[in-house]
Amino acid sequence: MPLAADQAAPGPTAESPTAALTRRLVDGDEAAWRDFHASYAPRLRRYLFVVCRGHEDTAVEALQQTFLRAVKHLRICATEAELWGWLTLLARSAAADARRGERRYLGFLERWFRHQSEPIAVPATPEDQLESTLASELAALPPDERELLERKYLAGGSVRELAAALGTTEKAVESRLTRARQRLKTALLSRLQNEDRA
Amino acid sequence: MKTAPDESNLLDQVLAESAPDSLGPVLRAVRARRRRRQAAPVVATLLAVALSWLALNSPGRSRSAREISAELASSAPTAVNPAPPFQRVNSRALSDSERVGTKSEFSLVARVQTAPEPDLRASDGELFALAGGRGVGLFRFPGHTELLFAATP
Repeated sequence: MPLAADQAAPGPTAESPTAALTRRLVDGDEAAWRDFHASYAPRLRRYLFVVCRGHEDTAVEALQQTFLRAVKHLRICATEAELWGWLTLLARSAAADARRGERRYLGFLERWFRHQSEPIAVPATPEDQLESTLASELAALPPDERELLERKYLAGGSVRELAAALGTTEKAVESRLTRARQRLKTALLSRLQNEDRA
Repeated sequence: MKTAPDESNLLDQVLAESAPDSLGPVLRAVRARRRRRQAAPVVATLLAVALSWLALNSPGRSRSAREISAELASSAPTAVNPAPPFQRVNSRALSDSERVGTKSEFSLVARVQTAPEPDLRASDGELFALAGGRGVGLFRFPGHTELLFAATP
């Protein structure tokens, strides 16, 4: 969960949580990097799936590059908004490079039209777009898978409770959840890619 | 009832499904960067020393007169046993008994007046023979005059 307590930072001389975190990151504190990754990797992943129009390989590569560039260039940020803005800048740059790498076989045409390079269009609220797409795709899943996912993630049920309710084993529930998530992911990425073509 | 965190949780789970681990490479990069930062001062110091040494010892560098004179003043002779620049001479005044007085002891052996006569000549060897094997000196003067001196026997 990204830091959100910067506004409540006491006194002008006290360091905000984001500044403290980024200072530890700049100092190479591994524990800080673990926290930072746990906080921002999911959010950046969502952002990049939208930026990359559902192209998973590109998004995964861009996510990795975003973190590696952050390791290299990170600076101390006073607020969470500043940090997130900088991270999204890195993410867009990494996504552009990843897309360029994937389209290397069209390098000749790209060089030919370099002066007309296509800017990366980012929706104003990529996470909102992704969540609305998720909701519609979730609704389109087969009823049993949709119900399983809703009971697990939206109602907060545990695997043990689901297994007991369905009269099956926890392992079977885990397998069904994995299949349902995979189906939802495929539908989600397909939707994003189709929106890109449209 | 749906809530944003729940949906985010599902979304994150879905998107991360079968995704490769991205934390490992990040931590490796952090460690590598930390090692580079720790080594940077050492490398910079070594580099500075190396550059200074090169700057001071490069063959093409023009040296000031002060540096050259300082080098000459501080240089040691290369020869193990160099030859002395002078030779010492001990001298003493001679006593009167060691002192030898000398004077010229020559006498005129013959005065010869010669006149140009055909087929009559005395060669230098014949004149020297007149001295009887003693040390001689033969002086010729204009007007066909020659003086033969011989050392006193």
